[in-house]
Order: sequence, then C-alpha cells, then structure tokens
Amino acid sequence: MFFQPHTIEEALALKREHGAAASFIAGGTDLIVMMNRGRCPAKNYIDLSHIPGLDEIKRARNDNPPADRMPPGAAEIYTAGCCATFSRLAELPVTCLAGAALSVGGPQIRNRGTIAGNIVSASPAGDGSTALLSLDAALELRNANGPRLLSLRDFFLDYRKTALADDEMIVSIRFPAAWKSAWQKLGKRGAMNISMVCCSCAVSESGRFYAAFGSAGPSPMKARRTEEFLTGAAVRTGDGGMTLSGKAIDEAARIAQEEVQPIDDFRGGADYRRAMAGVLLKRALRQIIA
Amino acid sequence: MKSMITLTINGQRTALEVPPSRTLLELLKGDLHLTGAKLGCGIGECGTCTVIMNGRPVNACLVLAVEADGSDIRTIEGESDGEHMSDLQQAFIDFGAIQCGFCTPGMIMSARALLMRNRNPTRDEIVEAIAGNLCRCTGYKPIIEAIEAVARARNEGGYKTSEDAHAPYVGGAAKRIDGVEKVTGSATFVHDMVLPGMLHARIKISPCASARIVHIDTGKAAAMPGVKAVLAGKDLPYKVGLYLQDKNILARDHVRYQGEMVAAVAAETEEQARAACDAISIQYDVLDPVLDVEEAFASQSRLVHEELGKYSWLKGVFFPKPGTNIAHHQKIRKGDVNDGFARASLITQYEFNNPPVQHAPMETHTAIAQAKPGGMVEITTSAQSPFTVRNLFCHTFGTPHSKVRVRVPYVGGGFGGKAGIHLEPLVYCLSKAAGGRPVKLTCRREEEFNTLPSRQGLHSVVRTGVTKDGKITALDVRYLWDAGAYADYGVNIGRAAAYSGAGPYTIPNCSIDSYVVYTNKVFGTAYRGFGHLEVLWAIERNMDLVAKRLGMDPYDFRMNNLLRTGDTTITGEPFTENHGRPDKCLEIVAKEIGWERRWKQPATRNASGRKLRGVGLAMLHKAPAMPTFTSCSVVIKFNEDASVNVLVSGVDYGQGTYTAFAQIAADELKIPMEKVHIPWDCDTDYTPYDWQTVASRLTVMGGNAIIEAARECLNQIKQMASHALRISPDYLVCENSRVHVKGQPSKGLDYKQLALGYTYPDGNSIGGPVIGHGRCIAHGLTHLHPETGQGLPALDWTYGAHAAEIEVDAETGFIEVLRIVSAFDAGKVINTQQCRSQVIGGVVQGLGSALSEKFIFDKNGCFLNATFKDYKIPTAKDIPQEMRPIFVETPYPAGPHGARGIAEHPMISVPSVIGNAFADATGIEMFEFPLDPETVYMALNYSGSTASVAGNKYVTLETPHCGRQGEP
Repeated sequence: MFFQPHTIEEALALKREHGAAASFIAGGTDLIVMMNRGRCPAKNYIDLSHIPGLDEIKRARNDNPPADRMPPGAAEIYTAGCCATFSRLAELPVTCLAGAALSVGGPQIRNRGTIAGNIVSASPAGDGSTALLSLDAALELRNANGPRLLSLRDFFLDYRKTALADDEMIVSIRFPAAWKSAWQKLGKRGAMNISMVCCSCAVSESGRFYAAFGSAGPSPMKARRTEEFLTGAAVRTGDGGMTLSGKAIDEAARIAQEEVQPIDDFRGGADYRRAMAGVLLKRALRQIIA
Repeated sequence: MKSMITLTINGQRTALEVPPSRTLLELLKGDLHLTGAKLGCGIGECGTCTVIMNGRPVNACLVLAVEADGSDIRTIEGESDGEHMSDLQQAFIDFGAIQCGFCTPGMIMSARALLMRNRNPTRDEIVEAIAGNLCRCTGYKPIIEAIEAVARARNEGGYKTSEDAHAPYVGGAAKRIDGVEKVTGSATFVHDMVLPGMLHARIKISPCASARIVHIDTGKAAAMPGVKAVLAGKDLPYKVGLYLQDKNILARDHVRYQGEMVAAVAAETEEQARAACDAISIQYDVLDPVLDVEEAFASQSRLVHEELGKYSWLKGVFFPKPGTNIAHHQKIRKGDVNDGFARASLITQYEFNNPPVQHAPMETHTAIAQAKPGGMVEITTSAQSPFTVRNLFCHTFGTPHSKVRVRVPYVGGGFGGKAGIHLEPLVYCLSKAAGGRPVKLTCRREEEFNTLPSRQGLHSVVRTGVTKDGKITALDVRYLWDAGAYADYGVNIGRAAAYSGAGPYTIPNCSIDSYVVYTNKVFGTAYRGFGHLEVLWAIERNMDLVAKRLGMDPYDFRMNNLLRTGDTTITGEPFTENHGRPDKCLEIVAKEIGWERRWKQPATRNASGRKLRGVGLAMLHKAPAMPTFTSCSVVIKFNEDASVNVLVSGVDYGQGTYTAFAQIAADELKIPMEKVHIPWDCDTDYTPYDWQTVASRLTVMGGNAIIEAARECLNQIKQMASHALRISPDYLVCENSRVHVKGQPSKGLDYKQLALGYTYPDGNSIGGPVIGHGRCIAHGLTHLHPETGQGLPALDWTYGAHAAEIEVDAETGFIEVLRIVSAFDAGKVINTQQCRSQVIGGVVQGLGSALSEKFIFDKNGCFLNATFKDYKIPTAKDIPQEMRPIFVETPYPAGPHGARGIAEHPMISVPSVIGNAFADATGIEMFEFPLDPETVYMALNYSGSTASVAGNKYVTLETPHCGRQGEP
C-alpha cells in the first residue's frame, strides 16, 4: 500500500498501525533504487512529500529550557525538517554539513535525497550523518504519543541499526549554526562517490572539538578519544578562535587512526582507510584553525 | 490501487491515473510517449533520465509519479519546438558535444537547470552541474565548451550559431548530420521502441562461476500471470559464436561464469517476467572455478570446455588446443631470438598485468525479435553490425539469409561491446516460443556488467635484448589472455595483439606467443582498439624500463627503434613512406609537453612536498583486425530534386562516420552537404552489405565505396547529358549540382533535370533514375602463417603518441592528470571537429582504465562491482585540465582522400603514458593498472617490500632515475 498523508499526525497514525511493515518515503533515492532492482524494501510506504513544511530549515537562538536545549553547546541552532534536501543543506553557512551535502551524488540526487533519509539508512558511509555527528546534532523523534529528543551520537547502534522505534519518525534535526567546521572526503574519482573515508570536524563556541568519520566503522562514528585529545591540546588565540600545534595535529591523527575501525572490502582496504582517516583529519583540522 | 495525479509537463497540464510504483521516467516514456529521457542505470548514477522538476534537475528513474503530483516538469521535448533549436541545443551541435546521443537529452536538461538558476555560471559551476550525468563518448570537454558558450553569450544578446561548413567539405569542420535528432531527443534508440503486441523478457543468471546444472524447474514460472514463454538451456540445442562456436544461447548442463544466462521468460509486462524469473528454481552442483589465467593455461585437468575439440571454428585462422584451456595460440616468429639475445649487452625481463574492464556504453544491450509466420525473422537491435548479426544468426539456426531481417536504428554507444551477436538469438527463441509475438529484452545495467562481455584481462611477460647504444636486438613475449568463459572476439584479439605485439618498433628477432585462455569469468570481447591498449601497456612500460636500465632517455630509446621506411614489421610487412610517421608523432608530443627540459630535471614537488609531478611518453599503433575478405558496399540514389540518399550498413553509433560520409559524398557529387541524406536505420533488407562496424575501418572502406558509388552516379549523369547536349561525355564536367561543357558553364543541365532520366522538350525520354553503387574489399591480405605468423594481416596502420604530465598526491595516492598531448598520423583529417572529439573522448575513456576502472571478483569468481555505483567511469570532474589533439597527415594512398582510421587509437596507450609519468613523478614502477588512489598510496608507502595490494606488484628500481644523469 502507498499512503499519502497530508499531516504529520496522519503519517504517525499510519506508522503506528503498520509498524515495521511500513517505510516512510521522501526523496526515494535509496528506496526507489531497491524497487528498481526488483527488491521490495517494505510492504507499505508512507509518502512524506505531501506534508507541508517538512523541508524547511530555520535558524534560531538555542534558548529552550535546559532539558530541551540540544545540542547543548550551541548558542544558535538550525532546525532542519526531515525532508530538507542535500541541495538546501549545501547552501547553509555550516562548512562541514554544506561540504558533506555537496559531496553526495550529483545535483539530481542532491535535489531529491533528504537528510533524514541519510540518517535512517544508517549507512556507514553516510556523508550527512558524519557531518551531523561532528556537530553534535540532535534529532527530534516523534510517534503518535508525542516527541522525544535524542542526540545523534546515541542514534546509531550498530551496522544499519538505529535507536528509531518502529512507530517513530525523525521530524527534524537540530545542529549548531555558528561552529567552525571542516569537511574532507576521499572517493575514487572526482564526483559521484561513495566515501572511501570521510572526516568531519567542528569546534564549539566554548572550544570543544568534535570529530567524526564515515566508512570507518559499522556506522558513522564519533572519534571520542580524538575529540578529548584535541579539546585538551587546543589553545585559544587572541581573536577568540582556537589553534593547534603541528605536533598536536599529528598526534590527533595518530589517535584517530587507532580509534577508527574500518573494514576490508572491495571498495577499499582497512589499512588504506585507516591511513586516510589520519590524512583527512589533519586536512580538516588545518582548515579549521586557518 | 491507482492515484489521480496532475502534472504540468512542458507547460501543459495533464491529469493521469497511475499506480504508486510507477516512476516518473516510466510515466514519461510509457504513458506520455516522451522518449527523450533514457534509462541508463535505474539507480541514479548516470543521469540519462534527467528532467527538470520544479526548476531543479532530478533523476526521473528515482521519482515516483505520485510524489511528483502537482509538479512542473520540463523534459528535452520542451526545450524547443523541434524546428528552431534552443541555444543549448544549437551549441551542442556547433561544439561537437554529441556523439552517440544517449546521454544528450539528460545532459542538456542538467545544463538548462543550471542556466535557469545561474545567469553567469563559472566553468567550475558548469562542471558541477553536469557531474551527475555520465557520458562515455565525448570526454565532456566539448559539452562544457558548449554550455560555456551559451552562458557567455547571454550577456551579449544570446547565443549565435556558428557558420555552416562550405565545399570542399573534406578537411573542414562540418557539423554532425545527426545533431538535431539527438539534441531534441527525437533520435529513437531500441531502448525507446515499443511494437504492437510486444512482450517483455527477463533473464535469470547464474549466481556461481562454475557449476553443473542439476535441475531446472520452470513449471511454477510458466503458470504465472502474463507469462507467455519460459525457456531453459535444454530447450535450445544451438551453438553460437563469432569465430569459435563454443557458447549456448542459455547455459546447458554447465554454467561457466557468474552472470551467464540460464533461463528466460517472456511476459506481458516486465514485472510479470521478473516475477516469473524469480519463481524458476535451479539446483546447481557448485564446482571449483578456474580463475587464475596462469593456472588455467597450465592445466589439462580442470577444463572450462571439456568438449573444445568438438566445436566448430574458423580453420586456418584460429588454433584451439583441445584438452587444454587454450582457445587460440598465435605465434609470431621473425629472425632468430636466441641469436638476438646473444648479441645483446643487456637482457631484461618484466611482467605486466591488466584487469578486465567494461565498455559501459550508456545504452545497455537491447534487442527486439519476432519469429513471423512462414519462417521470416525480424530483429531490431542495438548492435554494431547488422549483417554480422544476420550471418551468425543464420549460421546458428540454419535459416536462409533472405528470411532474416536485421534493423539497427540509433545505437547508444558500443565501443566493440555490441559487435558480433549477443541477445538476438535468445529473444528470437522467446518470440518463437510465445507464438510469434515480438519480444524485447533490455539488459539492466547490472546484467550489462555481469552477463555481457568485457575487455579481457592480460598477463604479459616481456624479455628484451638491447645493445649498449640502445638498439633492440631481440624481443620475446608471452601474452596470456584471460578470455573468460567463451571465445567470442577474444581469439581474434589474441591474434591481432600478437601481430601488433611488439609495438611500432623495428625488431630484428622477435618471438611472440599469444595464448587466449578460458577461465570461469565473464567472457571478453572487442573493446576500442582491442588488444592494443593491453599489449601496449606492457610494451610501452617496458620501453621506459629498458631505457632507464640502459641509462638512456626513453625518448631517444624509442626514436632509436621506431619503424622507419625500409624496415619490416614483425610479420614481414615492409614499412613504406605510405605507412605514416610514428617518429613525427613522438617528436610532436615530446616537444609539446616540454620533454627535453622536464626529463633532465628532477621530478618536481610542491612546497609542502605532498604533490609530485612527472611526465611520460607512450607510443601506439593499430591496424584494423579483419578477415582477409572484409568488404562493404554503398548505394547512392538520386531523389527527384537531385538530393541523394546514401545507403550504408556500417553503423554510426556515435563515432561520426556518417558525417564524414556525407562530406565525402557531397564533395564527390559536387552538391551541397544538406542535399545528402543518410538514413539512420541500417536494414539488411534494404541497405547494402557491410561486414562489421569495428576496427576503425568504416570511414576508410566505406569512404572508398562512397567515392566509387558517386563516380558511377556522375557517369550516368554525364552519359545522359552527353546525349542531351550532343557532346562526348569526355568534354563534360560536374560542379555546383550541374553538368556542363568544359569551359562553358552556361551550356549544361542541372542535376535536377537528369535525376530521374532526361526528358527532351518533345517528351521523348532517355536514361533513367540515377543510382550508383560502390564497393570496397580488403585487397591483398593473407592469413598469417600458422608457425611463424608471417603474412600481411591488415590494411592500414595508424600510428600515434601521447605525452602526459600528472600530479600525484603523495598523502592520498590520488592522481590528477594535468595535461595530455596526443598526436596521430591520420593520413587526412576528414572532419577536424569529429577527429578532435574522437581523441578527447578516447583519451578520457583511456583514463578510466588507467585510473579507476577494473572488475573485482571474490575468491569464488563472483563479480563484486557490477554497478555504476562501484564501477567508476570518469565524470566531468575527472578530465585533465588540458587535452591537445594534434594530427599529422601523411596520406594513405588507398584511403579516401588519403585518410586512415583513428576512432579507437586515442584510447590506446593512455594507461601506459600515465604509468610512465607516474614512474617519473615518484620513482616507482607500476606493472598493473588502474593506478587508483589506494594502489598508488600503498605503492608509495610500501614499495621495496614484498607487499602487494589488490594483486598489484610494484618495485622501486635500484636506480630509478639513472637516465637523468645521462650515464649508462
């Protein structure tokens, strides 16, 4: 069955009814690929493309009550609707996320593919997810009973496994609007690449460093030890920015190379991916402190 | 369940009822008959289906029609009224931005969407806008130039078309004659075709590389809704094959590669056929596959074809060895290699590898066939060679040739992969089993990779003897071709690559053994310059390696040994002044790249030391590989208004031959080019014989036939005019669509007065409709001697050279190609624009092989990267900053206007030149391509150890740059 609800409430009622047997569909750049290949990813589809407003992106001060203030380290945040496309995200002044969005597919895919689709697919190579992890993004999830907020770092559980319940949808994603960040991705050619490895870094207003990697583990991963090291090693500059010594950058790359858990497959070897995680991290950090 | 949707398509509101699973592409093509958008992959990786939805480009294959409800859709059909081209359409024609035309509609839509949103796009923005549209023919550069021209002209009053070419057309830049059809999306490919009553077929392919088929149960499938025919191998007791009949239409008893067709269904809809295929159950007894070519070569117990001895093959040309895996062994013996090595002061031996790769034409293989009452057969197919399809078909089924009709309309790229015969026999058998309804089978992209043939892998061992002063005294080579499961074109590649297998050099003592070896992999076939890109990887890398061991500049070493007038080739063919100038090609590219200066200075690094630059050179050569009796024919018939239709059966699947034909015909007949019409469909019922569209032979042989046909037309015109004007035909000349008395232009007749015969003022008529035919056959070729390979194998050789400058990112292993300069001795450039486009397109295709493309198999022989997602062909972002085609013109006296073929050549030796430049940049010698980032990174970091990545072996020579100091 193919449902076309016009409100979120209708969509969630359908999801409660059908549970795991129904899949939300928006851009379709994953699901329709499967359909075209003769595989049926779900029995029922709930099309979100006719619910108004789900593709909007808003900027606001992060002045919700403390329990609801996510991500906690951001003074100003963007809230992107689940159906915001990569093309829209590529226009934001958030370097890592815009870079990640622009590195997805070609313009055709970016015009259809949505950020929530990228997150729920939980692909280890998810470019958008990796960038959002480095922004300590938070998800607003909702079922028919109401919403809950979940940090993206608690969302990915294992290979293609997430914390999303069968009756839930991602309604929106919140991420910092003004953190300095950088994006690095390595593919096999100039465009239309699945990441061999990708790396996203960001630094919060308070000087905390964040680093995440794609194609470096069973799901997009946060490099916690690397983040701790960088946060400790960084020095505040006169103009209020953060800087890192060359030695610290090298050490961070070394830690990250220990931390990532890439696999060997036909798309790339683990040794190469591990080495590249370090190279990309260094490049991203140099961009951030430049 | 169906939903009502409303779309505005090209400005027109349309209400439709659609099932939820229908994609926008299916809706456009199937329901609305807007066939401009194409299906190239179905997974959003190629962009051929691009349309503009609410102002933004999207892949119509990945949008459900119900999701598009309420949208504004713009397709290629809305780009112009079909009469007046839009600025982009006109610029695509003017800049030669079109070849096969299959990607063109999607490409124009992406460009249009950019221009709608961005008034002044930069080059980078243009490249980004088309980075999601793959093109396998043009190399993107002419496309980028066309879009740039339109963008620039917007601020200057709009794009103005460039002037049309004038007579004489040969040697000019006449625009493609198929331009309008392709930029408007009205060119109809087999992919777009639907016949009344047509059924749709799907195939079931083998999941394992080698297995015995224990049992096939088709009962459930046959009973499913809509199913009209189900076939398995046991139903089809036929053998097919190009030179060696070793293949079944559907696997019988054994499957020999993963992807081999095992069963097939024809049903009312594609979904029904697919469902029925899924319901066929097959029980396999899985065997240990033969995957390693050296092991296959040596083995007499593990055979891919136990019954090789029972097959039929072209005797006297091919030499299979029953009881082994050797499908063909080609020997070349010249002089005495032992003596040659004895006289050498240095003997080297190197081994090289290259993996199988794919043509990846944007249009996958597709065919429609109908078994008609009375034994008539009609086939419409995306094939390169209608007459060869017919001939092989008749050979397999014993059908009289006159009862089989093969039609070939526009073809979306082939590059050799659509030569020979592929889907046609199966589709015919399905039609027959379905009571004679037409059946269509279109391969999905995954099937194109898994099931249809590839370029063969090659393992080469090259032993070279040289004197101190850099003269080659002996060359001993063993080529092991990884043919895959069936011979197809592979045996002929093994043959051609042997007689070309020493490169364009004078080798006094030469021994080559070229073995075509069966393995349990997808089989090989012709691919652009077949065999030559592969052997010239070995030979041209070897030239650099040997030069460095000698302490010589590789340029000088090549110059020392290049073929020159008075030399003989390794098959004993005298090299004459008519063969062309390989030395001149080398000299030109070396000069353009700044070789002398660059080679003498150490490889340059950028400030941070992370980027390494280097330059390289490589030679290339190829002659058309063809049977000794290869021929073609052409008919030119005059129409009432003295325009002409030129009927040919060689296929223009993008390479531009028909435009060259029209130029040659117009010049010869003395008429304007717009009066020359070449009907695009080749049709064995109506167009005259042509052997195959392969081997860069069509412009040469077909051009000659056109000249002969045009001269016959002019003779008929002069004969009639001589009666009417009462003067001997010897005193008549033709010009400007008129025949007149020499020196008296006013005393003459317009062609129009003679096109259907001449009528005197009193009504008496003479002559008749003007119709001429021309022929061309490959005169003077011989079979090669079975023991020595001596003989005359080919008509015309085309020589060329590349020089490249690359930059290696030492941290990531990523190679950027900065510049490639390529020179070819084309004899005569018939069309400057088409030749340039061929070179740029071929070079970029070669870069795909050099840098990113290869088949990856698992240990069981299963093909892992059989999609456009994981098989990476170059995008618009992967082209070199600079590509320069240069042409030398040493006439080939037996070619039309002195022309030689050049369509395949640009791709040859591109991996070699990159490999050589890489060694210059890094000091590391690579023996296998592609030089993808991981391979390069590992080589940079682990060379000198015994490590090997993805099967690639690499070494650092002890004295990598000894040539620099000029010391031996």
